[in-house]
Amino acid sequence: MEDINAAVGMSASNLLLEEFAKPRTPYLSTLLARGKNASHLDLYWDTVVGADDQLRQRMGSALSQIIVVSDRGVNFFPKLAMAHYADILHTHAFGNYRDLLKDITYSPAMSQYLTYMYNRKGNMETGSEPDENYAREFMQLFTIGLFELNMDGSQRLDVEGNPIPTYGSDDVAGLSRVFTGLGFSGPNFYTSTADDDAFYKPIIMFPAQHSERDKTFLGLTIPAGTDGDTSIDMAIDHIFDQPSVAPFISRQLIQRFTMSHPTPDYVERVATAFETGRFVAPDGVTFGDGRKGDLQATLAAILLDPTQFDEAFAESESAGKIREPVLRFTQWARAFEAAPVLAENEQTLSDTNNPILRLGQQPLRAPSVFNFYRPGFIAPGTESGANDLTAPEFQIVNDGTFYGYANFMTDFVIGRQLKADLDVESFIPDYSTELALADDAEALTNHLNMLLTGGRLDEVVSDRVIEILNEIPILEASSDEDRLTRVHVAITLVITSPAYTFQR
Amino acid sequence: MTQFSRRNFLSAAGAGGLLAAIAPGTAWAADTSGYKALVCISLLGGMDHADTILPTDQPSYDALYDTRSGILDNYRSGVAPEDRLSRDIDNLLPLSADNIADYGGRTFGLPPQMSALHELFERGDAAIIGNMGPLVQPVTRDEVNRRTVPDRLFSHNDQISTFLSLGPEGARIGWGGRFVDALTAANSGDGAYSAISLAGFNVFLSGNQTRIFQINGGGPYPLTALNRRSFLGSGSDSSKARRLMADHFSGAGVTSDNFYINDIADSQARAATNITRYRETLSSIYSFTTQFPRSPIGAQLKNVAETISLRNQLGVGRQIFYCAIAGFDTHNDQANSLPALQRQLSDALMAFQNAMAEINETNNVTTFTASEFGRTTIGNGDGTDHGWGGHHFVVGGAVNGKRIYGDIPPYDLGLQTYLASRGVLIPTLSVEQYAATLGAWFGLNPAELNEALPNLRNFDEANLGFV
Repeated sequence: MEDINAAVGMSASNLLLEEFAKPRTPYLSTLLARGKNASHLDLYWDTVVGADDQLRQRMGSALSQIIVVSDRGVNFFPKLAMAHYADILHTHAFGNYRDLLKDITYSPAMSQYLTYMYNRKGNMETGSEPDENYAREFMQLFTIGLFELNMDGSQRLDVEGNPIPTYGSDDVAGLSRVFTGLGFSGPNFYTSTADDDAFYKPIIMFPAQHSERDKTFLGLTIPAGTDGDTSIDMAIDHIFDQPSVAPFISRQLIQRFTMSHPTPDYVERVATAFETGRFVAPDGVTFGDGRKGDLQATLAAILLDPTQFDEAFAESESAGKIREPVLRFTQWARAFEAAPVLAENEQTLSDTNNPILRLGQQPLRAPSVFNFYRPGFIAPGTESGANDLTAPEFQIVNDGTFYGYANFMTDFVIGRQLKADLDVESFIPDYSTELALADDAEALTNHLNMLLTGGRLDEVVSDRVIEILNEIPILEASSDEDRLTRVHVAITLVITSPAYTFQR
Repeated sequence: MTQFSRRNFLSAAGAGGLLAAIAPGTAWAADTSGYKALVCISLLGGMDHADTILPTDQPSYDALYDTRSGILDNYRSGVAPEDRLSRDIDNLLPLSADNIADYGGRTFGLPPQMSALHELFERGDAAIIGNMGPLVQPVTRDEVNRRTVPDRLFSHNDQISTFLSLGPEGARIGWGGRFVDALTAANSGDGAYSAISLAGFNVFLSGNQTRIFQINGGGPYPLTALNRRSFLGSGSDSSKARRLMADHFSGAGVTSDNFYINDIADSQARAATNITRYRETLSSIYSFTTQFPRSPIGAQLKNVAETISLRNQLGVGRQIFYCAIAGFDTHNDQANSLPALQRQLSDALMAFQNAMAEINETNNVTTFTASEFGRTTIGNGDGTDHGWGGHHFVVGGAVNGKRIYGDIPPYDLGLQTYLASRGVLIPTLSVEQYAATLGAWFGLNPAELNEALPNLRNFDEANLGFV
């Protein structure tokens, strides 16, 4: 609430500049300070609920869904390696996407997850070839995608009207030679001799294990004998230079912030900001340093797009975004200032991936490098699907997951979630404002409608909530208890309404 | 893609050059009576077929060793004690297939981690389908640049989609869903429990009408807000409030100009109806004496068995289940990761067969594997990369087991059944032939099969005869 009050009267551009200027909340140093048994997932929840740099956390979360690592695929010190990975995402969240790609390439987490840790150069005699895993996903998922794109995100077509593949098997094989010779920091190409802190600092190149052959991909040949670090720089530069990167990444970032199915115009405006590294807001404020991949310019283009301030657009049939389950939980926690923010005492938060019991989503633990859902997903048997609208989150928000979500949230709302220690206080919401309104069912409902859905609760829903609340009498003998019941019921109903699940 | 150019399928095949899979109007009695279930087990990541069906004659074994000495050496040291030496030729479990003579003196075995599946094979309840994968039409190494092949080969998400739905990512309905669509009449009621996923939402079970019902652990559970007596406080037990609450949770009355809002309200309504009715049957679950292994796939197949035991209460005559095991993308350290997965799969399949025997449904339930691709024959040191064709298992009382169907190609990487690089198998059987065989057993007639499997007519055999 304080955030919202402080923001009133500020221009949207200034609000963004303020968020960009906030210091980054660190993961790795915090986790190390907490001790060796501390959980990176607890730290995640504590940070996304409690930290001041909210927009940076949102951007980091969005990037973690494009450049995906799951702790389940990291063998050595996964908690610390994931904290190191989170720091990389948050460091570059308001920086440059190209720099992010480089730091990710040298991260212990990614190199284990996509298996290029200790990837050896090929061996002509045995026929052994370098591992192709990272080379393929680096192109398919992190940079250019499968087909060449126009700036508005649509596929480019050849003269026969067919989409144009961005790369083929030969490109994958050529690029795979680039990602050879990397290992944990230390004197030798073996884990046993790695530095004590090697598992959560950048990995390094071992020249003897790096391919000496030429590396040909996407029209570039890195000459035979080029050293490993130079080869990686050249490869990232060349791939990042491809025109598909801007629309491919921009469309996905829009999906994480504002629209499940971005319009082509919107994609083009954001991709242009990404490509040129600059965005000029309607009030004249300029974002970005002019370098391709500037994420301040990109994010400003997403959040300050004219459509996002246009009520008629918001009312249109495809505007808005299915809110991720995790964001629905963190919004509840922040709206009611749940405190103390102490996830280690919350067993229910220990892993929220179960779709039937919990949120169907646990950041830093996606089911695969393809994330919790895919950007092109269209849900079968739906109105949005019949209109060819992408709906990524419907892969985890559907008939099968609604009860699990509702029960997860209800437990937190009424304070009956599983605790590690019942005597330790954690995530206790402050309902004082709501309790003061509880005698007036309509006032309470209107207040929650504004607070949680921006006033977009369907009328049939808000009328019904008021009717239900009025069935809960406030008796003299138990008035405090009855008011609390009303507040619990009202919040539970609003956060299980379609208007809360969908953000406009 | 440079290696596979997209070509117009019809012009490449030539008019009349296509092999009619099933002549229109062929009489083929489709049986939709009684109860039948198909259980799909998706081996996510791409299962390394060459480290699963292994050669047991010395020349073939030596040839395989030459392509991937690093991996096979790792099995001799540096693996958990129970898996050590498990790829030594003498320790493989020999498959005494009835049709082994078809393989010209070559013989095959399973790794010792799959002893349970080996037993199922030997007693005739399991079959192996060799070198199968997504195809548009038959194709060899020489033809691969001029005939149509599936789009986006080697890509995980696209090939698992292609295996299960016959199209790359973006395909909206799968052949499981299409099978249920075709047989809706065999299901009394609205078919709400005909397509059941133990592994979340997936394209395989999505159909034009068919919708997925999800199960996980003991769930879905009832709504706390509706079922917790004290939720509405101690002062009131208003039946009106409870009725309105039920309306709220089913999204009643919500209509919007926004498509997504309507979709969310619709899905809440289905959840309320279907979960409520499902919960009402749970007290009838058969209590199996079979102990399921404590693995993710063990837990999923236990849930499948329990749900099959409710077939009469749920009023369903045909069901398709979807399960999944992750972890088969063995790019590195394969000798330390694959054996455990093989053991889990094998043990869970045995438990499931035992459970089906307890409720006399052994002959009415057929389980089969799926995977996005096989893997490169040539290793990358300690692992393998993305391939195309692979070997698969079909298990059940109705299976014509103790046989190997299709090819287990020799490890001569110059053969027409390999791509030019890294010993990637080009499938010689199509997923659609595999699916059609299962579908015919399940009760689809030829017209329905051809509709569900659009490329089936491009292949000689529409029924591989394994079930």
